[in-house]
Amino acid sequence: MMEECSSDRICPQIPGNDGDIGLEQALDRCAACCLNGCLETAPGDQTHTVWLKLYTASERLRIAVHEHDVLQALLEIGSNLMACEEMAVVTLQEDGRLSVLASSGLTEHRAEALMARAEQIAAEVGRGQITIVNASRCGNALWSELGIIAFVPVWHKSEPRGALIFYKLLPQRTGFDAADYELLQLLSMYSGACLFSA
Amino acid sequence: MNPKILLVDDSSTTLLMEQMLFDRYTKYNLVTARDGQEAIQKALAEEPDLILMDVVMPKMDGFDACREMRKLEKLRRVPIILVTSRGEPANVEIGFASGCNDYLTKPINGRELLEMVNAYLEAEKAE
Repeated sequence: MMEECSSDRICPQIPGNDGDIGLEQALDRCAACCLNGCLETAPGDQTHTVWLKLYTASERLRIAVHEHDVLQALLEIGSNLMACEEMAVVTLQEDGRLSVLASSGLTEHRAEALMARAEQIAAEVGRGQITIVNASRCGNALWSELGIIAFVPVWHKSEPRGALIFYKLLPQRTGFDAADYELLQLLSMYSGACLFSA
Repeated sequence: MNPKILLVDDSSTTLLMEQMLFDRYTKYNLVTARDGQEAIQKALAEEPDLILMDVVMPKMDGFDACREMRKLEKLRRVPIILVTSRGEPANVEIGFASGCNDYLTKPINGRELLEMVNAYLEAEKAE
C-alpha cells in the first residue's frame, strides 16, 4: 500500500533550488521551464496537464514567497490542483512536538491523532521520503491508522522541519495520477525553502 | 472585438491556471473577481460574453451570485459556467437550478475548459 515516489519522472528536467540563486529566481526558472513544457504539448495530452499544474504550482509559490502567503498557496495547490479536501501543513518543534501551521478540512479527530503520533511522524520526516499510499494494497499501519494518503517531508537547509500531509481526495478523484506525483515532488523540492527561508 | 470572459475565484491558484490557459490558447480578454459580490459588480460594469465562476467563495458563493445575475436584465443571457470542487449530482442540480449553463469540476482539465468555453462563445457568435 505504501510506495515511495519513484525516480521515473515525466518531467525530470525541472530545475530545483540549488542554492546558487535566490528562491524567487529558482521558482521563476522552474515556472518558465514548466511553461515551456506546457507550450510544447497539446492541451488534453496527459503531459500537458502535468506541465500545466507544475507551472501553476511553481508560479503560485513564487508569488506567495513574494507576498508572504506561502501557507495559503500550499493549501490551494492541494485543494485546487490535486482536489484534496483534507490537508495539513505541520512543523516539528524543538521539543519534538508537532504543530499544525495550516490546514484545510482537517477534523479535530485527525489533528489529535497526528499529535499523538508526533514521534513517528518526526521519524518519517527524518527519512526524507515522499510517501504515496495506494489504497488497493495493504501496508503501513501508521498511515492506515491516521488515514494519510500522501506524505511529503519538508526539509530546509538539511534539517527536517515538518511535512505536508494529505488525507482525502474529493469524490470525483479515484486516486493520484502522474500530475499529482510530479506536484508532490515539486512541493518536496520547494516547500521547505518557501516556508522557512523568510 | 475579442470576446471577454469574467473569471471568478477566491483562489489565486485557480485564477493563475485559468489565466495562463486563456492567455496562451485564446485571444479572449479577461477580467477577474474574487467573490460573488465583486463578480456581479464586475459583470455589470464589464459586460462579459461568458462568466466562469467558482462555487465556494467568501461573501457570496457561486450559486447565490448566479441566482442574482439571472435576476438582472443585463446578465440574464450571459453564459455562466460554474467551477466546483464538489461534483456530486446534488450539487450539480443546485448549480443548474441557480441558473448556470454548465458545470466543471476541479481539478480543472485544460482541454475540457477550453473546449467548453469555446463552444459557448462560438454559439453566442452564431446567434
